[in-house]
Amino acid sequence: MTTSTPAPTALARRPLFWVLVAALPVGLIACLYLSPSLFDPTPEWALGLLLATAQTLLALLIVFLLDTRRSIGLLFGALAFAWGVLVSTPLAMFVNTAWISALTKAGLGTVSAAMVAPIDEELAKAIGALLVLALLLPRRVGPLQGLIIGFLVGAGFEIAENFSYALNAASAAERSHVLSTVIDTFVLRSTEGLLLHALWTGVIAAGIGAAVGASTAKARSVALLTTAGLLLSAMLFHALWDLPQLSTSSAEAAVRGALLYGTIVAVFLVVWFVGWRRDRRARRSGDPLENAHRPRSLSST
Amino acid sequence: MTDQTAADTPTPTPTEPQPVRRDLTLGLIGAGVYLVMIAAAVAVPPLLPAAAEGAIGVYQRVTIAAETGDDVSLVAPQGWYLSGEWNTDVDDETAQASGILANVVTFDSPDGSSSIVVTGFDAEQDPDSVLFLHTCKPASDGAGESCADVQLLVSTPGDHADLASAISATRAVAASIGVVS
Repeated sequence: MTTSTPAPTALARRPLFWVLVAALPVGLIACLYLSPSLFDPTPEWALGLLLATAQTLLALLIVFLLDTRRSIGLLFGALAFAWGVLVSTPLAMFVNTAWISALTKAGLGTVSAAMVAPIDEELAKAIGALLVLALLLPRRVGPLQGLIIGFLVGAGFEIAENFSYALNAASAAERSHVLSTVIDTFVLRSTEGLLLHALWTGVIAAGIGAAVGASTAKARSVALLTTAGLLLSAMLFHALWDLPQLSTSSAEAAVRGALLYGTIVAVFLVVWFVGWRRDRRARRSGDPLENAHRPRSLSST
Repeated sequence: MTDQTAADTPTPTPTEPQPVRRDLTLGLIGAGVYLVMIAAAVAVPPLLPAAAEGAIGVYQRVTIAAETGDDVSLVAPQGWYLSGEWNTDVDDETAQASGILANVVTFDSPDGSSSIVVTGFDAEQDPDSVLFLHTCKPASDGAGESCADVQLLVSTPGDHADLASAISATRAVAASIGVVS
């Protein structure tokens, strides 16, 4: 995933780097506080960790295919993934619980997840992508880099969520079905909406990447407007996915879910292709400082 | 998205902040968004139920009289089904131990109607238990279903509405969101 590594001294001088690094143990402590069972080493926990690792490898394979020019350094990719796991997840867990509980008491339990999760979770992930992309500067930052970083943040979030769901389901299962429940949860989450969080955050962060890498005020304004549109689109897709109409076990719900998933994948691929083509065009235009430390950032150059 | 090229001038522009300043600015933006999310989650939800009552069309509260050991049955009209769960404001383990969750049973009857049976409610032990009913009906076009949420407050005996009122409220709520006419 990497072709170049930033100089450690350069990163060490960046306040943002230390903000990102410091947030990880804080997030870990928050996870431990909010859901201590996630750290209880039982057989189902080990199985869940194994399956989560398998999903992580799948996500990395997809990143390998998407980032053909290896424009994201390993350190930045790891930071993005870790942020999704350790920071975005506990934040969303806390905020979702508070709002869904309140909406349920208000009589909106059926649609509470569709109302709350798209806003909380997409914001929690997008901020992580923003910070990692800002840290990437003055390396090349544009829509493609944004999409990759966003994909990794979202993948980290989703895999942590899957792990949490699997252990929750296992805790409610009969003792003889605990391990099969963990497997069933991962299979379900892999066959219905695989890596959706990664797709949503990738789309949003493509806009963020363009904004972070923009070199003029006008370009940044356009990119920010685009980001707002992509954020709203991702939230809308997320809300549609979380509606109870897609949670029923009917054939109609399955078809509807497949169509929605296909649309989301198509949007993601279109955004990726636009970013990839602009990245290629910029490189062909003769930028000799690919991935080098430059005095200023050039968006998609 | 922008489409800048390498032909852009490398001269720093006024919009290009210094790295440290930029880092601090973006770090503050990120921390600010997170803090606003946390603060809103802590401060706003406690105010919501009272504000939402009557303001949101899918909210109703019906109080059912029940005593320890009572069986409370709600029978839905044909073509409907009821499902529900206790919201006890206690953790699952405590609820299971007190038998609260185990006492909510949902079943389908042969004529297509459904009932939810609440048994063994202990008003003394849990005087303010709230039963949420999610009343659903398949959509007319066969795609999915529409649901209405009704909150039933099960409390100690006294001057409370009866079960017919509960069903009536359920229907009214369902009608308000178009589940039934």
